[in-house]
Amino acid sequence: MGKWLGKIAIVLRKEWRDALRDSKSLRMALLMPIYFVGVFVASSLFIIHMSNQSRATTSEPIKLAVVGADYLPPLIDWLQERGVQIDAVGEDAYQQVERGDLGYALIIPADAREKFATGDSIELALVFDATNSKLQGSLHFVRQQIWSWNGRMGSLRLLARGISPGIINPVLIRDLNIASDEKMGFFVMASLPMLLILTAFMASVGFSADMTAGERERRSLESLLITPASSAVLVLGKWFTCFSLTLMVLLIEVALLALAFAYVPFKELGLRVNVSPLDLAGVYVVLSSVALLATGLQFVISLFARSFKDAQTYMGLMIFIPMVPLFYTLFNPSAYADWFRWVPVLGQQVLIKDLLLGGDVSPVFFLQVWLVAILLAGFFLLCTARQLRKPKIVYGV
Amino acid sequence: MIRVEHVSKTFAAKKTSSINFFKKNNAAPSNNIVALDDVNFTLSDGEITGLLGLNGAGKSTLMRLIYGLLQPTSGEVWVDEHQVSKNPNAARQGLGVLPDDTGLYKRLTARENIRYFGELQGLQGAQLEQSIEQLITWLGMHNIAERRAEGFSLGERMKTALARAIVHQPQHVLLDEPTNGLDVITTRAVRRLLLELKQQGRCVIFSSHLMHEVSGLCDRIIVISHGKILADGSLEAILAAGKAHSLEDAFVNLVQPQQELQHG
Repeated sequence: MGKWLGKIAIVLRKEWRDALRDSKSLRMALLMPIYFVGVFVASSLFIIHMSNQSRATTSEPIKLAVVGADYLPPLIDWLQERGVQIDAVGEDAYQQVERGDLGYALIIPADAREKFATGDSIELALVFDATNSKLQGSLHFVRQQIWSWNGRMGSLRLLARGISPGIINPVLIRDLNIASDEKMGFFVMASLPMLLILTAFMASVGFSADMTAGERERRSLESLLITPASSAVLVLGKWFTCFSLTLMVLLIEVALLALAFAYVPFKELGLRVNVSPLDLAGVYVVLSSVALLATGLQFVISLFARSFKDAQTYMGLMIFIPMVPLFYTLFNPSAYADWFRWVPVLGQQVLIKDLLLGGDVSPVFFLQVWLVAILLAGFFLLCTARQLRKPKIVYGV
Repeated sequence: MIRVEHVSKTFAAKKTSSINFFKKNNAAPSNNIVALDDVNFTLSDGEITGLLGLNGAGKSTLMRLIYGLLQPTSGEVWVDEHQVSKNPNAARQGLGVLPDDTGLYKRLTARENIRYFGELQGLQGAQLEQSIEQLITWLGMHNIAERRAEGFSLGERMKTALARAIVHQPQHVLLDEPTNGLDVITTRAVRRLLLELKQQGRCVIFSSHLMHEVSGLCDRIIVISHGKILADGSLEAILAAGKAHSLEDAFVNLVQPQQELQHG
């Protein structure tokens, strides 16, 4: 056993040295966490910026230019109560809006007072330029207020005649808009497990392709296989290099993420981002299990690839495997079933999400994902070791 | 000692088109390529054996069968007391092999390349370093020992690969065209090394296309064509069998009728 481990250590030492001198692959691997965390922080900041801006526009009072404000005082009072700032303007309001001096204006006809008293319909005119999308928000608000005053007045008049106001409202629609800033923040957070899992899948792609398909392409594989080192030793040594490289890259990513959590004002997103160092350690443990099975899978794939380029193409396709469950849960955030936890990648994703967003986390969940990962990785590596010395792999015959 | 006992090797021919799939299968056996056909010989220690043959004669296949990366269709290969098919790793321990067109690890230095293989063979510490140093001296590699293999010339690559193959001082040395494309100085270094190995009582077999090299170095010559051994013996025996005064003429005389048989 000790001798066996010694041999693995020999392969490991050589592959690590080789990998550390492979500046191109190393750069790619190390850029990944910086890039992903960068994208995450940038999109969070963007959303925070957007929500700040929309808050700024709603806190500013909406101004409304009104022609003939004196003709309909109850409406003007209602609008002022609702926080609309009323500016009285001259008769040329229509022209002013046309010229662009005014955003929009409300024109109250001179017969309004009389019609209001007799209970007739008053024709109000709202002048605006529909192509000016900046005004849509305030315009919508003003119109809504006028409608609600309208409804209220109507109801009062019916009540005064002893009729229930419900009679003119067969249905009522209550808008419950859930697409709030908070929701957007949730999307940002929900994309985080995907970025992390992608890193675990991709960090050592270049290295594992180089160690198998690349080695055959450079024609050093045959010489290596002529040595008495057993296939299991060679595969384990090489695989452990990739695994430990991935762990290193993931560690950098989680550390960068911890920094991001410490300095990016997630609270302004209305998000409970109270991810403790312990939670992040938990995330790292879960990601390690992804790395375990991902590197195993990389070995099987690149062993059967004909060349280094081939291997990279196949691995590019391999990336779609984790994407399927990730996308599914991204667009159905509420989808969940207990069996999810037994599905590789999906199980890890659920667990990472719970760790980040504060769901229920039990040690059993960790055991589940690790058990699945160990079994799968073992199977992949066994396949690789079994095939390594086959003529089909070495000579392609 | 390497014993090759009635070894045959056939490869299934690759199908040329999918249409074959629909044909009846009775034509299939004749499509198989016979790479080796009942090859039988024993190589003794302290001898250099040259393997002569045209391109595609089966030299590389024979070598691959000896180091066990290909399995014979029938017959058996022994390296000392180890049967290659049963106990390949034990057999490989006694083998030093230079396959044709072998590659190095480009990001490792020549010395690191050699050391890695020495370690995989089970050497370590002072014994390993001493062995590496000795090979570097023998092959005149001092100027490249600490350089990364990226950008090595053909000769430098070959010397490193050769040192890597025999760093564990194996009893049996198999070299597939070791002087292919090398300059005079490097060829001489390799030749000196082969003689040195013979002096140490090792069993050396190498394949080559260079007649003068084979005639100058080898105690025994095996001529192989289309997977069959045509002649096997000392230089004199080959000359007699080929009815000629030079090895080249004898080789051509031996191989040509076979060629015509195959193509005519």
